[in-house]
Amino acid sequence: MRETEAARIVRSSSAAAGALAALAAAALLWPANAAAAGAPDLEIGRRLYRDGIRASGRPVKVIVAGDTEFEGTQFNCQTCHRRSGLGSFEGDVVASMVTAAALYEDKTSGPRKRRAYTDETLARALRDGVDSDGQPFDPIMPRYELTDVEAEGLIAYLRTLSAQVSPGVTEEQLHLATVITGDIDAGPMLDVLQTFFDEKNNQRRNPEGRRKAGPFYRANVDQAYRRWELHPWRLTGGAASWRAQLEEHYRQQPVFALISGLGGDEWRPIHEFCEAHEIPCLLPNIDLPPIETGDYYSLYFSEGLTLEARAIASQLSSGSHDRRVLQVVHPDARGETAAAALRGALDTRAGRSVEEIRLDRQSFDAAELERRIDASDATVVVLWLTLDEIEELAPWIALGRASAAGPRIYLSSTLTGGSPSAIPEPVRQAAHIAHPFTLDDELPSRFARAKVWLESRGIEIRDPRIQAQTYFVCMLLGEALMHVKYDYFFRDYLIESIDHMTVLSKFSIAHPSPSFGPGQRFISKGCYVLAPAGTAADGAEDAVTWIVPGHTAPGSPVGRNRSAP
Amino acid sequence: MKRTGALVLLLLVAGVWPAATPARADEPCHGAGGEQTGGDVPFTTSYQRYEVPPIRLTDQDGRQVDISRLGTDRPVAVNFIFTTCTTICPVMSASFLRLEEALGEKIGDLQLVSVSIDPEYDTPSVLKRYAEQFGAGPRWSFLTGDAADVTTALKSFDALVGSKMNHKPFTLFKFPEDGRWVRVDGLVGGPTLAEEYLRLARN
Repeated sequence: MRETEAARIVRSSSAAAGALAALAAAALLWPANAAAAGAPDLEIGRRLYRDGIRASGRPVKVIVAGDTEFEGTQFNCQTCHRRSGLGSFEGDVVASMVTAAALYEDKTSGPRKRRAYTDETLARALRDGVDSDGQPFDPIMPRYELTDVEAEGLIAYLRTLSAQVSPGVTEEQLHLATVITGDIDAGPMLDVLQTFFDEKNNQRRNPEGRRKAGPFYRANVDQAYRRWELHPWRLTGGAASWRAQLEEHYRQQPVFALISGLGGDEWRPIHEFCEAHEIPCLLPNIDLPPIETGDYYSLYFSEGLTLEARAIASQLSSGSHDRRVLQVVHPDARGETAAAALRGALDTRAGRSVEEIRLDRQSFDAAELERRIDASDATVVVLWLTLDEIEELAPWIALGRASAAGPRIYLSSTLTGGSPSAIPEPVRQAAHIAHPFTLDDELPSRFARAKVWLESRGIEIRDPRIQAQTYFVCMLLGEALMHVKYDYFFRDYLIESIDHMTVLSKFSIAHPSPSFGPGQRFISKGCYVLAPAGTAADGAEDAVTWIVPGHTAPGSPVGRNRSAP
Repeated sequence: MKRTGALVLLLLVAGVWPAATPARADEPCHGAGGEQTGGDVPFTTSYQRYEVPPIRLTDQDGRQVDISRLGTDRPVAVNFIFTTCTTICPVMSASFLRLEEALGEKIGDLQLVSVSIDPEYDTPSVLKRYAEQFGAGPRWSFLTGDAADVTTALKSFDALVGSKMNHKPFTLFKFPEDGRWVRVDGLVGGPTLAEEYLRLARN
């Protein structure tokens, strides 16, 4: 710490002046001791900023809207000024930038001009709600009850916000990685990513010419230009070794964010790596994302198989009569995750039983399975099985339709390939299907734009869903980085830009009704349940129901009073 | 067509367009235009006629609430929030809490209702957690529901904005004996909202 800063901070502490004067002298004479003696406590500042928690552990006391006193963690700085300190807006309310670069500069433009803050006027601003010129803030900015130590800690923390450009960014390049686990064929995804990156980088820029001749030339936009560099990170061997592989990749080439990605049943090591380094991980193509972590940096399309299970549970619990549920579990991480999610979602409701049949790992014996199900008294059978297995059971499933007393059958769209129309017709006529993706009959129109883009670039469409999703992520990143002016290449700001995105959700292809929002990390919240084909005609059930788990209402039929989201 | 346009223009100029103008001089409002300040916050009070359809939303405890019944057998205050909102919602929720406190015994059987404008994220359990964070009492309901139903509800209260990020702060009051709704536009603090409520209740 510089001597002047140490002196100023000590001076601003009003209590116990005598003791502090001695400390100040000590700090001035031996600057190395300053940290131990009176340096601002960054941790106190961080907890106030992010959580609204005081040094005492109590929530901070605030006055908002002119006259409303409140003690609570909802009025932390991060809520409005965001983790980056670069601020936010809602309607016509603007939360301004609170980075050191913004605060310690004269503000000479915009509706609110003011001189540069000092640490003293900043502390006054927090406590009394007036700016560096003594002008009162908009009443939405709370006034805070802070001790000197807390104000100093908070101000010191503000100085750290977006103070340095994030790793993975150079003067000319923006480094981005995509993670591929195991030996999955990444070709379809990489084709889209590389083509998008190349195209973006090849756009003719001619900054010199525009600077001279362009009437709308703005240096800050030009400054924000970077070439996107793609780094595919392939992880090999067992999942236990992936974290170390990721660290090594990152050591060799720091990246700004992870984009798209391909994974099998295990994604947690990548998730944890991203959280540890605070690296945004944007929408990997996976079906088993880590759920309920409360984490910040990983964004997923949906809860995947867990979402399917919760939607089924939601539909079952809205039924009036008691249901004895039998789950048939394909013995792998996907089957087990789905089964555990259904068990968890149903367990909380009284009067229901959940039994399970776990398939043999070695062989699938359809006849034996059918006997066991028939021998049970289940009224609902949820088949967490693959398409191959379902096809073997097809005659038995179809038979169930003939007998009215047969159990209600549920299938997983994710486990059967994600396209209900690919499931044999007799099965579709007899089973309910949980489908967390865009409906098959809406897919062509949703996919049209991406399809044209892919085909006109000569990209072979081998995996429409993965390629459409990857295209969407590219668009998302491009849109989010459009908001990056000057050199605001801060990861927190990228996440915040995405949180505030509203328009792009309309371009989602594979996932219905996506929406973004601060702290929302699964962009598609609901799942369709398709009733057995043909049941809608006899009025027994709606053909398609949109279910957002957690809502107690039974879900809304699609097509009657609303179109598909 | 031309005549209708001229008529609309006339009505607007005359300030008697029935639904959406600020209070007229004969309405119980301070000042001519309804512009006021309280706790240094400017706000506008106006009377509205809303056709509220009989839609059932769900509260934070899973109970069904028919929104067309709001304000018909007890007075109600309504605002519109979402739990992941970065700016105005925490302030609006704090104001509601303080409204309750500021009214004290005068609160009578006033009901408080906060309707989520982000229903797919704001499930009843998410709203329950939010209510607990704010220490909401039993007279305060947080409503959510099917996205299409919530959209219809928002439309009926002239509260629908294209995006939840363009959300604007206002509070509605309704009294059983009056068919009209009172709309208080502005980010008003609890004590000021309480004064406004009592003033309206007297009228």
